[in-house]
Amino acid sequence: MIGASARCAPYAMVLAASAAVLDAAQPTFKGRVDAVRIDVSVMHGGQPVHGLTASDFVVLDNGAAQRIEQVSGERSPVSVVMALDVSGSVAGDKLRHLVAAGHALVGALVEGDRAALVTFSHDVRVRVPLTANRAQLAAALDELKADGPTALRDAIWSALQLRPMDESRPLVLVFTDGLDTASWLSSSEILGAARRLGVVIHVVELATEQAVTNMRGLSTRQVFGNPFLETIANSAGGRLWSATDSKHLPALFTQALEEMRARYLLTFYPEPPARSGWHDLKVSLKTGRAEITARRGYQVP
Amino acid sequence: MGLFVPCLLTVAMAAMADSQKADVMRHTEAALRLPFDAHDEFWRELDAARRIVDSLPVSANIYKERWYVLASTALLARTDPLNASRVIDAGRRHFKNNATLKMLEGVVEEMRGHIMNSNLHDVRTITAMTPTPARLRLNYAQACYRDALKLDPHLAEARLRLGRVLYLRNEPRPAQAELETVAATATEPRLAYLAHLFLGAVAQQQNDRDSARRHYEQAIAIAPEHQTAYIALSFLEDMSGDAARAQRVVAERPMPASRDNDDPWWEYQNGGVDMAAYEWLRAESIP
Repeated sequence: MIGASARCAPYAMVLAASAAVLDAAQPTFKGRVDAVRIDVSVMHGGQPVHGLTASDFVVLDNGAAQRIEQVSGERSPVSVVMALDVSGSVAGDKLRHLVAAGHALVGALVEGDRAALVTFSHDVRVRVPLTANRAQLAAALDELKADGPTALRDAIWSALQLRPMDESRPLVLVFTDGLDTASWLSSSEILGAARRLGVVIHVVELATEQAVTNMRGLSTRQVFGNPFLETIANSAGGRLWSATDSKHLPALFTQALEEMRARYLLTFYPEPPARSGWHDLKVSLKTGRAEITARRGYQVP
Repeated sequence: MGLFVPCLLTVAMAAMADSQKADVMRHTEAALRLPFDAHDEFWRELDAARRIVDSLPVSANIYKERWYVLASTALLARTDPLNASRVIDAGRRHFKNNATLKMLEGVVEEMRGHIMNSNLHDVRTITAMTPTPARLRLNYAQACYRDALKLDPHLAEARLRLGRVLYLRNEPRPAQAELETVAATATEPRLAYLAHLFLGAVAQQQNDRDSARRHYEQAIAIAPEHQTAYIALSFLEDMSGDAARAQRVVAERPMPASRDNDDPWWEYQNGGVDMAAYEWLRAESIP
């Protein structure tokens, strides 16, 4: 990965699972959950693992093994909401690279995909609601200007509210380079929402690299990021990509979209029928080694 | 002749004071125009203005008082609580009974608390009541706001901030009482807006979702162009199980073309220049 590191929980074989009910793929609640759909990423050596079928996966719902009815997703359309930090710290080259990254993502959309554009400094703006109109997205990207403090959590909330209520696979792609200084919502509120709403959240972070001298007096470079970002990406079954140079943003944006495209959508009917409350989910492969990323559970009202 | 000389002297002194005030504004405005990261130049210009302010005659005390308020808020707006604290201390040495300066002492402490922990308003942090350094700052802030209200019981912003800090310190009932007073009596829409926003948070924390909804809707009614009340209401609707309405609230939020009409919540969190003081000083500084 071009000068950047992915900071997702390194799950091997059996992963500290996660999964949850996709909101787009929301389970039908008729007093109980009829169907649960889990958006799962399977990676090996940094590359997506293709060609898996239902018989390759193991899903545990509160410890009980489930029968997977359907595996789909690799060809399903994606609805991606870009939530881009345009606070004052992004001005200059960073903004130029960010706009280029947005264009790269829009260029990578395929037939059936849609995208939306939310920008945030302290001011959270829905620039373009979900659309397949690439020209509209491109024009909005070209108008971006950077200033002001950062309302990251409020922006993530707004982006989550743009999730589609259809069969497409929702993805929120957050870009930020800073700490939250202006949000109304708190971290635990947003983390709770990320678990509850079932939208995959990928985060691209522009982190700060600084020289650090260790106890032996040796100087090393360390990357300082915002720990909240890793937590929210993990909670929402997504990934965090951390870059220290904004010129890597276009590659990371398309990588995030490709990762989303390579995911599997598992559907199962909970047995025994799911009761109200939180359900822990664990997803693993029956054989082989892989990093699996998915949500950690789902909530039944 | 006997009367003429003191008269001339008075006129000359007044002219000198006018010219000094013009210099104060020149330095102050130069500071305010500087970019956010020009900390040293900002401080240099402000300090130059302060030296002139301190040399003004006693007759210009109201001017001096207002300048100290403006300078303190300008530093807070740059998230510089350290220098804001210095300016407030200097101002309070001259004007120890100025309620606004006393309140700003509290704002400095509140800001320091938020810098230490940007999640002080997280319900878990509020209810945990762990005596962290950030929470300690809230205690100091609370004391400052109470002192400011002793100096001026009508200082609505001090009461609003006292209510907010009481909420953050997990004292919902006294918080509610202070905030309701502000909501009922505030003449400035921004204070009424914030009072309803904060009352919504208090009600939400106590699981009184109907009251919370009512307060958020009142905040929207006061300032339909500000985003924070929509965010708060949308989140409340989702928590109440109405995901569709939560989405609608965000979708229906108007997007003002201009960003000049800043949400008072941002100023509350990150500080804002006291524009009323600025306009007054500017008018006073024109010979």
